[in-house]
Amino acid sequence: MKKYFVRILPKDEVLDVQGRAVLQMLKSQKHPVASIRVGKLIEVVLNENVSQAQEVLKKITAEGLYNPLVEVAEVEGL
Amino acid sequence: MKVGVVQFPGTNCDRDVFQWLVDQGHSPTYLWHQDRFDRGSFEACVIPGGFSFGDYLRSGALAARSSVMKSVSEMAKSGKPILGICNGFQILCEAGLLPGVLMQNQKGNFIDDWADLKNPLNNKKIRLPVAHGDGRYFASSDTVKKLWDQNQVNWCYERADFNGSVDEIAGVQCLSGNVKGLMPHPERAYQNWMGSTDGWQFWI
Amino acid sequence: MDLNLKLKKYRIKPEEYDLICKLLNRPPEGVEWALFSSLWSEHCSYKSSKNYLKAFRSEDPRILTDEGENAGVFDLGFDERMAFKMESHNHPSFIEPFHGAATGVGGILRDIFTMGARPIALANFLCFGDSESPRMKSILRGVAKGISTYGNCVGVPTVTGATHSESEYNSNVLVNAFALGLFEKGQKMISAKACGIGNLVVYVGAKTGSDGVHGASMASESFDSQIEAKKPTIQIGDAYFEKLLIEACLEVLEKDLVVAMQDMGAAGLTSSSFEMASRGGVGFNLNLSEVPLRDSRMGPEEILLSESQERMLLICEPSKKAQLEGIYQRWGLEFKVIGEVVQDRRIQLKWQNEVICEIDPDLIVEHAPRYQRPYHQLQVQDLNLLKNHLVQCEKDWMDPEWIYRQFDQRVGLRTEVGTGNPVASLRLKSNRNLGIAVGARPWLLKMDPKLGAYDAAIEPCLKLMAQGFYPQAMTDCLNFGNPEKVEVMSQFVAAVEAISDVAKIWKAPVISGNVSFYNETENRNIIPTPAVAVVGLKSSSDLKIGSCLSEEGMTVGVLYLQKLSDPFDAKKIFESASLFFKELLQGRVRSARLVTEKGLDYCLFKMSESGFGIGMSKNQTQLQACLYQYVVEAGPDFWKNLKIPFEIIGTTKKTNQSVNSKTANRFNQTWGLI
Repeated sequence: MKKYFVRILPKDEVLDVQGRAVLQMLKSQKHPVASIRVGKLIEVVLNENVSQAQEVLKKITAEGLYNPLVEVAEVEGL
Repeated sequence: MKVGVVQFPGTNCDRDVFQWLVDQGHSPTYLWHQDRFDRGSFEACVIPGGFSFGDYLRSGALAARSSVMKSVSEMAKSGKPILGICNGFQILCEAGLLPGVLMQNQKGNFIDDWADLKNPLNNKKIRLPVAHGDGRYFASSDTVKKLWDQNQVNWCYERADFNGSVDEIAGVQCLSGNVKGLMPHPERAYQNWMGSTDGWQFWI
Repeated sequence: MDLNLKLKKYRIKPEEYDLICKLLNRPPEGVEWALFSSLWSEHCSYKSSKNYLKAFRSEDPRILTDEGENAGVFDLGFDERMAFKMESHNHPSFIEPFHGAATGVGGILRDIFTMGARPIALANFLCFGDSESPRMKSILRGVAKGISTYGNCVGVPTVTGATHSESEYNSNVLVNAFALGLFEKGQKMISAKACGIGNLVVYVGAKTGSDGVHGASMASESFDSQIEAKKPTIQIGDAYFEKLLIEACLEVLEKDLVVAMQDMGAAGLTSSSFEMASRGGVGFNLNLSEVPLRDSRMGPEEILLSESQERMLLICEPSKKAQLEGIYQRWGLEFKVIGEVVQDRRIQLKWQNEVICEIDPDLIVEHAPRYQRPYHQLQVQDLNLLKNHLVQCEKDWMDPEWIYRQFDQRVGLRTEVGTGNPVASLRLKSNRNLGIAVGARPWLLKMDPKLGAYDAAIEPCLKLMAQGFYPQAMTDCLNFGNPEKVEVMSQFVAAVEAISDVAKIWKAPVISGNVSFYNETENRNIIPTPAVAVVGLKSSSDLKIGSCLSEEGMTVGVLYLQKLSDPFDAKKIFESASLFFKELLQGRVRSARLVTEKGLDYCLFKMSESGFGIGMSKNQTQLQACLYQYVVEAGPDFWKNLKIPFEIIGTTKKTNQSVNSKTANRFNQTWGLI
């Protein structure tokens, strides 16, 4: 079964509060990290007989998997 | 008793815990997350509730890795009483001082409510307030079995499906018994007007 | 750029442009466009409302602030002082409910702690559209989550509020947030007036990003079909960061290291710096290149307009800088000196070593237009018109428990009574309690805007008195449509008149407030909604008058405070309530509750949740229809001397009734919640 992934990250210009906190923690422990962005990875498996995977995934993603006001989503595995 | 009260950026029940300890006759001192302390300086230690580091990544994940927790760990190993309340419980689990993990509540909502609790070891019943978004206790079935066999479960929710915790577990302790964690807040129920006094002399 | 296009881009009206040219003796240049655009927006300048808000002025000696401070501060006696205010975040909450509502809470909290008071309670007032209207279910969920997440994380309990649903809010929801803070004994109240030539202007908190650029102008504009295009202006709040900011600021204020402080709210750095300088009668030299940036591509105009959250501007003496910096850094916050206070009354802005603007802050702050928009006088109508509406309706028995169960009630160890009750009750160190109640009922405001405005202030006062709290002071959040429409302006003026009348009668002055205009979409305006929050004081924590029945064998009766058959008389309502209150203070009342539009049966249903019911000797049809009536449980010595019209309805008895969740379930069903 083919697995697709929807990779969701905060938009560049939007404040990533999680990324900021994690970066601060890592920096305080002296790790050489320049930047951190925290997002989500959603694993999607489609029904057996689905043909137009790209179209379907586009629709699913727009269905509310991510918030287009503040996030960007990329589909992987196509 | 001389009690250390740990403070992380984002901890918000520290002042409440401090007051609770003072009113019970103890001498609390705040312990800042970036500082180590000598494990002999205190007789006990509390990690209060709140949103340490905003609960970012996972609740308690960032706090568990801070300097002060190294000292707390040493204190735990020396057998002194350590209490983790709510976020404190989450931090103790993330730090490996207690087994299991606290995950998002079953229904996905923050719960503010009163909880009827039972201690399975002596059937004592108490009533304490809860306020948490990640209160669902989870551990592998092997771990859960060990916890029951080794008498490490010390509080359970009376109401079924309270927040989805396995076996309705609300609080556990380590094998040696000195490190305890629970999701409900004893420091919010120790005077009559608060609605319950079961938090009075609840721990030490 | 073509002038008309520019006026549109910066949302400046042609008449305003003419006024600017007059004030400057020339057309505006460079960043001056952005400065006028944001500071002359309705949201920042209050140009349509300022003239009328004078009606709220009071000489009450318990008010410790004068106009122009961030929040109102009130003396409670016994060395205790409180600060409180209510604010709106309507437009952003409609566009992005979670973040819009969250940042609304953040904003109001900053107005409180910037004065030196620790925020100890939050409340909210929410108006949604029909559950079936587009997006409304997800808006309700988003708003509830936004408010709860922010309040809980920052560690301030959300203790009361109100939720309403009417179709007039389908395209314009209302999210009003109230915050109350207490001053520690001896803590100096901090001003927002800059002073001290040579003092430093310091930026603290989060880095500046392009959040909310042009946000203040957005809030001052009605929605049209182009709502999608407005999307980029969403501000992201971080309650965790705000908590750090609260602790750091309270620490520096306690240590007396700061001369003045102001939060960067609407119109960010612009409003805070210009207002601080103007009110202090001084000038600033500001170097915009020193502002800590999250996005290095930002230019001076964006920096001035950014509404990135969790930032404060403070003024300090140079000798205190090192200590201040140490404290902010310990809390992980940015700390940067971005300027200094100068004698010349002008703000000089520098960018990359070049002076890009030099302007008298008074021109923008003090000389903002003040509109006398046309309106006509409204009167309170015949109360009998309310009769049909006051017949209780099963479908209205809904309880938004799903929303308020998500609020942490008890953090802070002060909450004695929280949500799900008519009034919230918080313990003070002086063995007294503060009570908070919120008012404004859209169904009534729709039928009679003036009466509804009276009600917005009277209802919470009556609720407080029923539980033994005497109203001390109020705040308001005046939510209205487009003030350029005569009808809306009339409703606004009527509301201000009504609320200030109640404030005078009850001697509970309005000490702070907020105005939100342009809650209008495609020419449809919202119901005029002046929300009011009243804070009351109970003279002793030991005086406990609950809102549920408490003893067996007590007589229960109904006190008529305002019958529908009588002309509306606010003074008379106050007098009757005061007589009741006098009896209450003598210990003659066991429990009491104000009957709402849900009717007497609902009131009795709620009163029975304590396990006591009533053996009824009369039913509702035998009683007089009222706008205001109390149900009171008391012994014979209360009833025999009572000088207020009343009717006995029964005697209390023990039942086995427990709390019923049918009203909560009905709400969940309607809104598709689990």
